Amino acid sequence: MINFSNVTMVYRSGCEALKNIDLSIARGEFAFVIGPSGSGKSTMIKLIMKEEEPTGGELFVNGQDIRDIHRYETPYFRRKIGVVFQDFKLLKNKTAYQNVAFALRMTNTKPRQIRKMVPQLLSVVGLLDKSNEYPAEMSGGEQQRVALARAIAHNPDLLIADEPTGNLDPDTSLEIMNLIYKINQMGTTVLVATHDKTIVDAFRQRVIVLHDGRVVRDVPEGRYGV
Amino acid sequence: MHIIGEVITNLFKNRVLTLTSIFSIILMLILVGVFGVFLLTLSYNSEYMDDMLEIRIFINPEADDYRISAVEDSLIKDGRIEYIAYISKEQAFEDVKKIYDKEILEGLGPDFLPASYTVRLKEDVDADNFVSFAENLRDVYRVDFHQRSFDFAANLSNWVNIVAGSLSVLLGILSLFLVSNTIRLTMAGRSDEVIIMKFIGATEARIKKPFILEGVTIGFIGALIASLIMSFAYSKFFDWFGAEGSTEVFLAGLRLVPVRESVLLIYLAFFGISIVLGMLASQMAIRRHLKV
Repeated sequence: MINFSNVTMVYRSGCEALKNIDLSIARGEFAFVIGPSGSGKSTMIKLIMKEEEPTGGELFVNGQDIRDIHRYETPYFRRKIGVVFQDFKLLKNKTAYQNVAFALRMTNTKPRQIRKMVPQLLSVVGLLDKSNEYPAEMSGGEQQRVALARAIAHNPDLLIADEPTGNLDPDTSLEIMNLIYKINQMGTTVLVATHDKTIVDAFRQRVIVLHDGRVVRDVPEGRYGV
Repeated sequence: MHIIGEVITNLFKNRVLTLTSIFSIILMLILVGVFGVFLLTLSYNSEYMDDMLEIRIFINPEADDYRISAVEDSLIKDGRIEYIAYISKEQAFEDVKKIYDKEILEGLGPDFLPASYTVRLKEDVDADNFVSFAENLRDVYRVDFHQRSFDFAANLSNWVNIVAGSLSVLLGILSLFLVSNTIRLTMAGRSDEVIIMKFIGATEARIKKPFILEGVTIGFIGALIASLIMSFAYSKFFDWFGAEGSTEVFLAGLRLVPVRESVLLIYLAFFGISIVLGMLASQMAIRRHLKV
């Protein structure tokens, strides 16, 4: 699904964010990427999303060389990747329903299809009863659920979660991670970048540790510390 | 449908700048309109303006045929004439009968009118000089020449064209920047939305579309209002200088273009100009401020 071979990323500022990364994540896999701030987690996500291009090495995502994806193909490539963020990135002036519908509308899904899909997606994340609430009226956990519903709207092959529990209390964090795990069980490859020791230890999945732009540890069924 | 709602909401959020942009477009278009009206008036009058260059030489009514032909001889001998036509008293009377009621002319015959010559000069002849020559001929009692009103009209329209033309170009540039700034502000207000659009896989065209439409909408509203103002103002202007309901109105020797004929073309230009301007302004804002 994701294949880094000898990937280096040097920003124009001269900052060397990733150094000779070799890494492979299989289709359907669940992996945590952990490491302190500035270790390269965000850069890794940016490269996978084709927000940036690697300055060295090769990166394949979903079978495509990231450099071969033309500017005009990028949106279609991104539709196969769902993404959630620490700050949820919901539109404040839209309800839960409208936020999910927005993602579908932007990709020219037919209105009839949208009316059918949005309730299904909201029920997957357990928020059908909050369809008409605005982000400000929802708890952090509920907002992250809406973001998850939106992220899986295009039935992505890959789900990237960038600090998904960063703004949530421990119980809610666990709920969100259970939801992400459930999505993984339905066949979507999942990559979670996090600082959250508790959830990493609780899920016992593959753990990739980045430090100063290098992979320093890569353990199947790992823990945060060891 | 959604997108139109989006556009209107965003413009309303930045209504002060939106209104300023619309106002500046209206101002520019009205200047373009004035410019256009003058150009149209000139082309509408081009045939008629040629007639203005003719000189009409009236002969003393008491002159007999012999003295009349003496005048003609002098005019032809002078050598500056390209064309000369004699209008007899009878012919002049026939012409007058076409214009005035029979009652007014009752009891009058051709004798009260002077015979005249219509003369067109060769090119590059000093008309004023020729006019004073003709005025001094024996039995010539009046010379009519419209060169001055022709010059005045031509001069006036020249100046109007220069002033209105350059002002509308300046205002066009100003409008471009104002509209572009309005779009930039709506963009800034929606940076989150743009980021979200990007990662959910909206195409570049889809992300840019509302901003382009905002520019076009501003242009469209500006053109609509300017057209209304222009149509009202021109028909008032037309009525003011002519009798109510008249179809032929003259100002400074120029025949004004009838309301309907002129203005349709100008309205089309209004919409064309302002919609293109709106699109350009949006493109400008997108190029500078939107990283897709």
